Amino acid sequence: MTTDAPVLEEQLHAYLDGELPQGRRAAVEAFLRAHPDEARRLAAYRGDGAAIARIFSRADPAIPARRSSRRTSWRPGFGISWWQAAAAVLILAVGVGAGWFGRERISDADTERLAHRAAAAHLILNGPGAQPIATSSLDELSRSMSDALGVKVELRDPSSSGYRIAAARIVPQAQGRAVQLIMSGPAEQTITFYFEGRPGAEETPFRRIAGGGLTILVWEDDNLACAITGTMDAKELAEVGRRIYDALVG
Amino acid sequence: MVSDQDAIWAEPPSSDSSDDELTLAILAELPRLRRHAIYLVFSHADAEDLVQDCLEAALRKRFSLQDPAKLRSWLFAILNNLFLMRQRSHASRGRTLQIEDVAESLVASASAEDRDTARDLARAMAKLSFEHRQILLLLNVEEYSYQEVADTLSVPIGTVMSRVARARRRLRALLEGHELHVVDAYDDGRAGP
Repeated sequence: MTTDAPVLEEQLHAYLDGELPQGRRAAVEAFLRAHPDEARRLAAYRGDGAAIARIFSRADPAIPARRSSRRTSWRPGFGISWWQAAAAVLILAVGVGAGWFGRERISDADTERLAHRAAAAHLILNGPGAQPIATSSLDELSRSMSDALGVKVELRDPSSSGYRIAAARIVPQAQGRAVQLIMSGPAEQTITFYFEGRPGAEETPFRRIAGGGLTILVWEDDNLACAITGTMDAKELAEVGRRIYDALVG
Repeated sequence: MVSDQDAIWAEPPSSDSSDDELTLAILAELPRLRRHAIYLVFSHADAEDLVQDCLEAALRKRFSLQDPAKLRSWLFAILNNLFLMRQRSHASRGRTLQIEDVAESLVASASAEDRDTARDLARAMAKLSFEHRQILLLLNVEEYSYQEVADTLSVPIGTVMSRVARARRRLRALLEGHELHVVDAYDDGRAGP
């Protein structure tokens, strides 16, 4: 089937992209047979498109640890050097405020929701309303954290785990407030801890949630709902997270 | 289509489960957004900032997403708008394209026989205007249809058609022309539709 209608440049590209209506394809093909230079040009475009698809489709270009300098909440100056590790003796002891009732065991839906909030906090470092806890004192940090979470928290220096607290902040949530600790480790790896107060909570195993290139482990322990978020795989994150948490809460 | 003027953090009405599902769905699109952003701005650091801004905006106005099936193009539209705003803002003028960094990472991940192509293509893509680079990425990498590109960029479909024709011609000229040289700033010459 041929037609006398001229073949426009846009139609050649639409043909290439599979966007040309069925009825026009034969005309374009006839045009290309009659114009080998144009056919060669189109073939070159096709080759370029295939090369772009091949070369730029890499599933996930290495995700650099997020540490953008303009994100000031990363660096409020809360850093504890290795040599201080031995000196710090603080315990995460949790007291339950009078009048609290023990809550039900963590459900799968709760686990997921907590994971989502933790992941969002991990990814959005400067969400509106987030308040950096600007202190270099573990005592002060523990007090701010206890106050925000409504349960008593005492932190130790986690340096023995190889990670230090790079920043801490209070994250407002629909119900209550959460606290996030941004941990910086060897090779500038970053893991965030996310805590919500959960009076009555007792220790549970880690539950793994993955999504968006992140691994999130969720658990409860001593009146806290906890999550750790990082880009490493679940096994490694569980090992590292356990090590840091144990150092942190003593 | 998607405005970023309303910079007020809307309080989430509640932590209901559909909201959580949407948040998770947004997070699941991150690798794709990040990939697109890196090759759009040709800088890992700038892309990271852009994606973070996009994510913040998306979560902030997630209640305005009418059709969850269109989540991806909604996110790409937000990313595109944020990028345009940055381009127009004084602060982002003269941001540097990390062409050789990005080229090297593309070369490193390419198959052995594709390495030269990857390097030439990376340099040529970097030399294109961002609109041309963007449309080639959306069509070839994201496999968008013309209509999806038009929706995402908020331009008429005729603009998509003429833009892709021009983008391919320019890319070919760059690849054939042996005139490649390193540019160190965004090609700000937006050549119209």
